[in-house]
Amino acid sequence: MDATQFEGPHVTPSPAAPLIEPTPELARKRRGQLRIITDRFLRNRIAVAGFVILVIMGVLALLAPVIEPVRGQFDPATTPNFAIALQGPSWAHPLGTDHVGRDELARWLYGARVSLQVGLLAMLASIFIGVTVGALAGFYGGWLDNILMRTVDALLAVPLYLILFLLSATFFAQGTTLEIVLLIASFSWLYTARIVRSEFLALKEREFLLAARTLGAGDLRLILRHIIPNAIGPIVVSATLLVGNNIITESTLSFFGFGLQPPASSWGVLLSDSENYFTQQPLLVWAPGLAILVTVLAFNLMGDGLRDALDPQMTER
Amino acid sequence: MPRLLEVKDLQTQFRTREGPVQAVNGVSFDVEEGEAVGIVGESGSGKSVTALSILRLLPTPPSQIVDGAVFFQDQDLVGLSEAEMRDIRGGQISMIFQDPISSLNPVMRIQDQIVEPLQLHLGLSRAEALARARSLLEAVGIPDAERRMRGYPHQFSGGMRQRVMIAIAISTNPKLLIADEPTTALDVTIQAQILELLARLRRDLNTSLILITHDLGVVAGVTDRILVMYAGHIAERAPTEELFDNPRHPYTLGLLGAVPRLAAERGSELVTIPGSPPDLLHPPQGCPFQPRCPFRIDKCATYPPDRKVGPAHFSACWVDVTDPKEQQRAERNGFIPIRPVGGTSIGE
Amino acid sequence: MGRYIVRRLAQAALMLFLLSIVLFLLLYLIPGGPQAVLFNPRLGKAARDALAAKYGLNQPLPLQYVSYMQHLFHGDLDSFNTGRPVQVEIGSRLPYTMQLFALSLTCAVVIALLLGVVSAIRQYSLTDYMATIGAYFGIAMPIFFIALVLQYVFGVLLRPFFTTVLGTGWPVFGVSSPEADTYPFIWFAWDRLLHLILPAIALSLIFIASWSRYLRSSMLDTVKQDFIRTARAKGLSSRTVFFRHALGNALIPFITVVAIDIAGFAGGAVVTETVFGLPGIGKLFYDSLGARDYPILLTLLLFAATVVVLVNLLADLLYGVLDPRITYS
Repeated sequence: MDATQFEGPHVTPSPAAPLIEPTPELARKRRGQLRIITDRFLRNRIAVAGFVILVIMGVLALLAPVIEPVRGQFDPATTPNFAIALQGPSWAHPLGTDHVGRDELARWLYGARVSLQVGLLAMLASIFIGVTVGALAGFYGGWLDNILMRTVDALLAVPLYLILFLLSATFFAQGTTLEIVLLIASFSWLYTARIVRSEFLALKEREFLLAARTLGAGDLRLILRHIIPNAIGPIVVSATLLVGNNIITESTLSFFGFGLQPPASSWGVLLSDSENYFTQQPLLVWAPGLAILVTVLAFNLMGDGLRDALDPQMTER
Repeated sequence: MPRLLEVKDLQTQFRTREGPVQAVNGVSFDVEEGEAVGIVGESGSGKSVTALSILRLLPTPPSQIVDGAVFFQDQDLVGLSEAEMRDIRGGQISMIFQDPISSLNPVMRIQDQIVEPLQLHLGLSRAEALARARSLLEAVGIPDAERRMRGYPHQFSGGMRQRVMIAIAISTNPKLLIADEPTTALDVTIQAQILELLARLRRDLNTSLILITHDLGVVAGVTDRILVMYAGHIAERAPTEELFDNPRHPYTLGLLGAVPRLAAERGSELVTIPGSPPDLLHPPQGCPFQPRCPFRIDKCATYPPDRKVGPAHFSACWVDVTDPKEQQRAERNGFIPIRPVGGTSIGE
Repeated sequence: MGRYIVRRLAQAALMLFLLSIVLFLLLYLIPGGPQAVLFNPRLGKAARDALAAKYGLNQPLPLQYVSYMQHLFHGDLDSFNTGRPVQVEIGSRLPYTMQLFALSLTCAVVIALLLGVVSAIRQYSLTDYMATIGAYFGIAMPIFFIALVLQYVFGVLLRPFFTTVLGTGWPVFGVSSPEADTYPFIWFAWDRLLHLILPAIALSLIFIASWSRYLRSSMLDTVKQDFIRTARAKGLSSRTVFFRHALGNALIPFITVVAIDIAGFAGGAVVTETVFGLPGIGKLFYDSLGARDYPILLTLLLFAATVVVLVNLLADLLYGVLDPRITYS
């Protein structure tokens, strides 16, 4: 309901009201919800900018194995050359070289691959866990809801970095990409679960569900075919924001040596390697650091843009 | 009686992404001292925007009074500074809103919300204001006011909250009270009590009243005159009884037909006005009602003038709806004729 | 209300008890647990058995848990590393963390309040845009990177400036100057504060960013409410409408948001203390990780969880006090 309560100008008749002949606006609405959302998103220039940045980052990350042979920098992670350590930018090494003489641009590009990969995979995993837990809790309620949500509360009470550092130092000590993904995902699903649960609670009471149930739809079908599609907006938004958060988490773990282990390179590993050379070669820190900043910023801008596009009432702010 | 309020050619726009929406489009009317005027129309007709424009309570942007004047005691409110306007609001002109549930601050005690205008406009001390707040609450019929005024809004029922709103509105003895759908959000049984309270207080305090509603049944027993609004225009204005006995605008006829109780009593089918209110972003040429109007003629493509059809009775329509020939034509267009009924019988 | 508090405390205790079991199992069951640390293969069997017996590691797990808890509550649970009780180890480090927390949290809440309110009052003003942009940047940076940049800017770029103006560089590492112990108290305190400023900025920036955004949108939501229109219709000034009617309503959920983020704040403290070399419990945790000092690690985790749970309980109670619609039953 319109919070202002003005009985406002009659711009578009609401579809729920009776006696309405389909106006062009309404007909357009019926034609494609997705089109409208896309239109709204595309009108938000800042969100589109975020999207473009992500596309560029993604292309760079995907093309790293193509770009690098062309540049003549094979296997950048493992070929130290101390003779050229800590060089400044040059044509051969546009971002300079690191403390053991590896080409920083090559490491940066491969770092982009890993950082984005970890961010996206961990997002998929935590969305899967979060949606499952949230759906079960919200749909069935009762003791199951109680147990699941108290578990979420309990896990939220443990400071994230403490438990991640600890598990990484012990259980996930190999530092492979898969381990880091699982590690991050195992604690980043908590808010998603809460969001999905509240969506489910709200949707559960709606008539269309009763109708579907009357027609003999089973629980699984109700959840998968009827509720989740209606809750997809908040899920997509939280997924977008999760990727950025995961990238930050990964970089923090790697920076402190609890994340990916060399020779793997992610932006966090790059920062960890070059932390002590900030004074000598500032670019070694700026390049991965700003890459994280820009990428996470882009994910957040896109996430906010999606939220506005999916929930037009919020855009009026 | 001397004139208290004169609204002249008021035009209020909302700026939207798709373009300007003309919510109030050249509305003019007077309110005399001690008079009660009803403004009736469907939602979206511009009646609330008119009221909020008088008090300049609409957020700017997106809304703006683009033209016209609102003379209150011969002072044009449209030209006043915000500070001068604040003296008018709550002091000279008070307003009661539709939804009493959301119109009171949920985390503030009732007494603190009543005391505010008293201290601001009457310059009372807190102790004096509290004493007055108690008598006000008693006057609007809240039992055990002394204790209850220390409570919070959520501890009151909807009807009780509207009584509190009324107490706040009359607390400073304003010259004019604007009630915007004051009973719409309430149970039917409570509606009559609140209306009766409003009418009584208005008489006792000799306050002028603008009562805004979509329900003709609400205004019938309370107001002296009625304005019927449609799509930002005044379609018809007449003394209350005259309007019920002798409606002269097709839209008013539709509204009267749409009063559900009467239709049911007569055993006829429930009459509704076919079609929906116009999209004010793209208003139709000429008379805004013509797309839905069974009396429509070619002339309707230009906006009709305010025709005087009786003493103090004006209708903005080209057609004489009392003409049997016109009625037969309208019936062929799907118009279901209703027998005009007396205003007093509706108010019961 | 009393009964409500008791019930909530009981729930919190139960939750923490279960959490302690989970964390204990997590730590002691997984490969690389205490046994691996203590059972150095180069030790003879007798020596290993002696060590295991000393730390009770040869007992069944449930008994180990019970004995862990007993020792913890008796105050004689010893650090693997130093052999001193964990309470002593944690207690000696706690003041540093509390100082960092006090400064950062105060800054974060005060600045977030100011920014949020100003951005909401002056929506779409220059201040609002700057705050929005700043918030987006603040949220998009890892705390450790903010810390590195601060160290670089203050310790390297601005060093010439500080040496000219202050006569000495701005401290970017450690908790105090080397000879600070010999200073008179006021200078000692000043020196400590100076060392805390950068860590506090690094830790609070992200929270300033997200809290100020939250308050802004919560204020803007509140301003759209009907009761704000009622307040304006009374003729109140916009200042009164904003501060008495809108802020009062918007602050209540703000409290909950701050409380929820306390866990994140604690996690950020580990990062900040480590990068800035502050000897607080965050640094203790980090060091204990390297040393596999399980008693310290487990106790710190439980301590942090307890604080978080209590803060949230407190926030719930405060919420109930401030919002008359909430009743405890």
